[in-house]
Formats: sequence, C-alpha cells, structure tokens
Amino acid sequence: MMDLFIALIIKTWIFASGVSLPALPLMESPGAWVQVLASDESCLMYRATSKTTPQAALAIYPRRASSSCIESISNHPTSLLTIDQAPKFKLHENRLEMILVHDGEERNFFVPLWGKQDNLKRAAFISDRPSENVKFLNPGEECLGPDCARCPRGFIHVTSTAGIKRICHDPNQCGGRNQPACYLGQDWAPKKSGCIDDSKAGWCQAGLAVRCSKEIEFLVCE
Amino acid sequence: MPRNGIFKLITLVFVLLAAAITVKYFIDKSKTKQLVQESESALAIGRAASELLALWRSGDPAMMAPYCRELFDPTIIYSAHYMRCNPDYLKCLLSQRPKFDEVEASWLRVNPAKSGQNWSLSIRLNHKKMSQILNLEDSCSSVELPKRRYAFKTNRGDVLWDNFDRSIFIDRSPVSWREIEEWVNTQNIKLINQLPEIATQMRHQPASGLVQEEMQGFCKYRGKVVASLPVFEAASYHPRDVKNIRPKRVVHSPYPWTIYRKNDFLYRARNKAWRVNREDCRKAYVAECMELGGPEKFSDPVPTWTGITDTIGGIAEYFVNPFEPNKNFFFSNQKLPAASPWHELGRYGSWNGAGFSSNDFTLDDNINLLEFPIAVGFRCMVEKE
Repeated sequence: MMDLFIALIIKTWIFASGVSLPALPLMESPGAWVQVLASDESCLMYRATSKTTPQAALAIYPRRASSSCIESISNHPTSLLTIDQAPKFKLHENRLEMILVHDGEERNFFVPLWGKQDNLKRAAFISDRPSENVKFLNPGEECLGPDCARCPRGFIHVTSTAGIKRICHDPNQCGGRNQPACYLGQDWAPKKSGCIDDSKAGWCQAGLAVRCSKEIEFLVCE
Repeated sequence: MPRNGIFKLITLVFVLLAAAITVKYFIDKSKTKQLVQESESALAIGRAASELLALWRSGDPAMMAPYCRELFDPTIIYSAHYMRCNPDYLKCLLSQRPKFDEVEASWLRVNPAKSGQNWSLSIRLNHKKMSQILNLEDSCSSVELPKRRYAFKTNRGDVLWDNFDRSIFIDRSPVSWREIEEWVNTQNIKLINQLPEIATQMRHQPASGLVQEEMQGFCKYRGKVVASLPVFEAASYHPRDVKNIRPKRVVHSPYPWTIYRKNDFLYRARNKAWRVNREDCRKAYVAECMELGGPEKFSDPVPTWTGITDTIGGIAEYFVNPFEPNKNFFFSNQKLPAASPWHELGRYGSWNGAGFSSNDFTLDDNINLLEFPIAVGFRCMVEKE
C-alpha cells in the first residue's frame, strides 16, 4: 500500500507544473485536511489525528483548475494512506525529500521536481505538453514581478508619482522625445515622489526636458 | 424453486463473486504494477535529465572530439563558454550517445522566446512506455552586470547611473554565425544580405552583415534586446576598486585590463614599443595578431572584470545608445593596427544601421584610418526580474 502511494506521489509531482511546496514546519489542525503539496492538477493533503479521526492520513486529491486545494477535498481522493505520524519534508535543490511512517514502517524517498516552476531557478524543465500561449501584457501596462516576462518587448523602470514602477516598454527606447525619461537607478531617485519637472531621477537627450506627465504620471522627455 | 435450483443459484453467485474478486485482484495488481513502473520510468527520465542538464551547462569538450566535423573543427580549441548551452554540442553528443542508462534521448527542436517562455532546446526522453520533453534554457551565454554605480560620458557631461534595483544581463561575446544560422533556419528568416556559406571553423566567430532590424529580430528571438552602449561600457571599463560599489567619482581608463592607460600594449604600440604576442592578442585581437594565426584560433580571450570578451579588436560592434543615439558604433576591430586610437573605449561613431560602406558611418575624425566595408557585429542583453 505504501509503495503504491509513494509511486503515485512521484508520478503525480515529478513533472507537474505550478508546484507549491510545503510551508515548513507543517501546520497541524486536528481532524482537518491541510495542504502539503500542490500542483496545477493535484493536491497532497494531510489530516492530523483528532478524537473523531484516530489515525493521521495523507491523501491525493484531484484539483480542478483555478480552485484551491481545500475546495478539492470535496472530490473523491485518488489515493489515501493512513500514517503513524506527521510526514517530514526537506527541500534540496529542486528535490523534495519525504519521510512517511505507515504501520510502523518508515520510508524515506525523494521527488525531483522537474515541472515548470516560477519559484525554482533551474533553467530547465520537463513537460510532455506544448507550452501554453501566455497572453502578452499591453505596451505601457504596469507589470509586477515575474509578470514582466509577459511584456512583448521587455520592460522599463519609470519614476512615477507612486514611486519607481515597471511598465512594458522597449528598454532601449528612453530619453527621446515623448519617451519615458531614462531611469538612472535608485541612488538618483528621490525618496518620495520623483515625478517632478526637471527631476534628476530621469535623463533626456539634448534639447529635451524632463517633465512629469500629468496623464501617465511618470517622468517623460518633452 | 426446487432446492437443487437454489443450490445451483447460490453456487453460481459464489463463482461469479469469486471470479469478480479474482479479476479485481489481478486488475488492481496490474494497475499497481503499471503505476510503480511509471514512477520508475519517471525517475529514470529525471536522472537522465539531470545528466543532460549538467552536460548542457558544462559543455565538457572531452565528450566531443573528434566527432561531428560538420559542427566542430578538430583543429580548433574551442572555449568552454562556446560549448555551454550550445545546441550544436548536444546535437553532437546525442549522435554519439543516444542513451543515458535506459533512457533514449533524441534531439527535438529549439524554441524561440515568447511571452512568459525563454528560448530553449527541447530533447525528447523515452523510457519504456513513457515519453517526456526536456526543455533546456540558456543559463550560460550572458553575465550579470554587477550592481553598482556607473558613469557614461556624453557631450553634456557624465551621466551617473546605477543598477542596484535592476538585474541586467549582457552577452559574454558577440552573436556568432552559429546562432544566426540557427535563427535563420528555424524561424525561416530571409536576411537582406543572404547568409553566406559558413565554414565549420568559422561557426563560433562573430556574425556580421545584418542590418539593425535583423539584429533586433535575433535578440528578440532570444528574448533579449540589442545591447546598449552604457551597459557594454559598464561591463568593460575597469572598475578600479571593485569593493567600492558607490564611488563618489567614476573614473575610466580606456582599456578594460588596467587602470593605467599608458601601461596597456594598445597605448604603447603607438610609440612602436610593442611586439605582437599571443597574450596581448588574447586581450584584443588587432591587425598584427594575424601573424600568429587567424582570429578563429584565438578561442581563449581574456575577459573584462565582468566576464565579457571580444570587447576590443575582433569585430566592430553596434550598440543602442539611449543617452546619445548618434553614438552607437564602436569601430575597434581586427583590421585596425594596435596603434589605432579607435581601440579606446569611449571613442564611438554612428552607424545608420543599413549598410557597411563609408557612407553608412558618421564620425568626428580619423575616418581615413578606417577600412570599408566594415564587418558589423552585435550582442544582446536582457533585464530580468
């Protein structure tokens, strides 16, 4: 039974995309299912013992797109394993090590995480499905964090009324007429709003002045 | 119903039940066996992927010679950097070693960068009934510009800038013929100046003959943009004190390897006090270096402090310059003698991005010292999250 469950964990997570790793130490909520490991399609849930559930358990639930793991426990689990104690986890460079104890037998195994993840910097992933066409952001649209990779021609820093922000814009297209002022870095950006006419936080080509655009609220060259 | 009939019915029910249990047992057993086999296959593919990733990143040349003569010239000692994250390397490797333990590995395709996806090489991995695709991304071809203060000299004075809150990566070396050939062939690109026949021994050399739009197109294919001159300079100028990341003044020496301008061989060559030698040609491949062998033989260039190579000599390079758009061309190239003043960082001209004759370039002085047409190279850069 344990072999089967371990095989299922490996098969489910080794190439899964969008894996969320366990938050350690594992939260225990007696009798309630808590999320251990998630991917876009499955959830590994853990239930600690309580008065009504005398045995702890791990279960794999199928996950519907865009639903949380907690919502997925209304489904029938793909597999369930009773365990003697809380599972233990360690993450070493894209390998998740797990220790399970079932019927007094302890098993230590690892799952290499080869699916495409945002939070693991391996620069390699395995997927047997063609990559999804991720929608581009619009030119000029503000982007945050990894979303900036969705800018069609890269992104640029601008000094705005709300501080420094990133917008989708060719990073080489700055400093010219009606272009964003070239961002000179955090040492030159004022602590408060840097979007002030003639600000030193931006740079414009000869003959142009640094202006705070009232419409787009960041430094441009006019 | 007679007793005999009831007995027969009970017996039949028992037999059917036993048969159903037996069938379920064997189906479960078979499913278990299949599941365990699938997880074993998955782990075997994972192990092969780890090995391939390590080879992709290391580009261990010992795995290659003397094979694949259409891709690599056995008379050339390639730099380790050229082999790393190079699809040719894996193509050759897989032609010689198609199996990693029990996993069959075969070349599939290169994938261009697109929204949310980096440029990558896809390798198909098969183990028993399982088939997966390993996608290897480029983690080797560029260096990250160290986070510190920099300065760029303009006609209106120095522009001081920093990248403390930005992660900027610039290509180690100019784009090679191999890379252009890959782009042209996989994306069905028609270049304005048709791609010449590239000899095997020149595939690792900087490409030339592309117009500005094509350079932008190639960099976009790799998920990047054409490198900017301020970033190229920042990656090239000797930083003087590396530990002081916020110097009050940023002082430049025109050669990447020394802070004393007059000590560098390029400056000394102006007084004829220099004799061509291999060490200097590894820093800057200039005209005199041809006596020691063609540029394709100098595959172990001395890098700048950031790790970029081919900064001076070699191929002339086009850069985007947002600070002063009319200064976008670094003329320093392998046809100019060591004594040429064009080998100094900070001395630039302008290229119109369309042609390669003297009419296509503008510069303040010394135009007579240049030989046209000029082979124009380029490199890419990218800002990452």
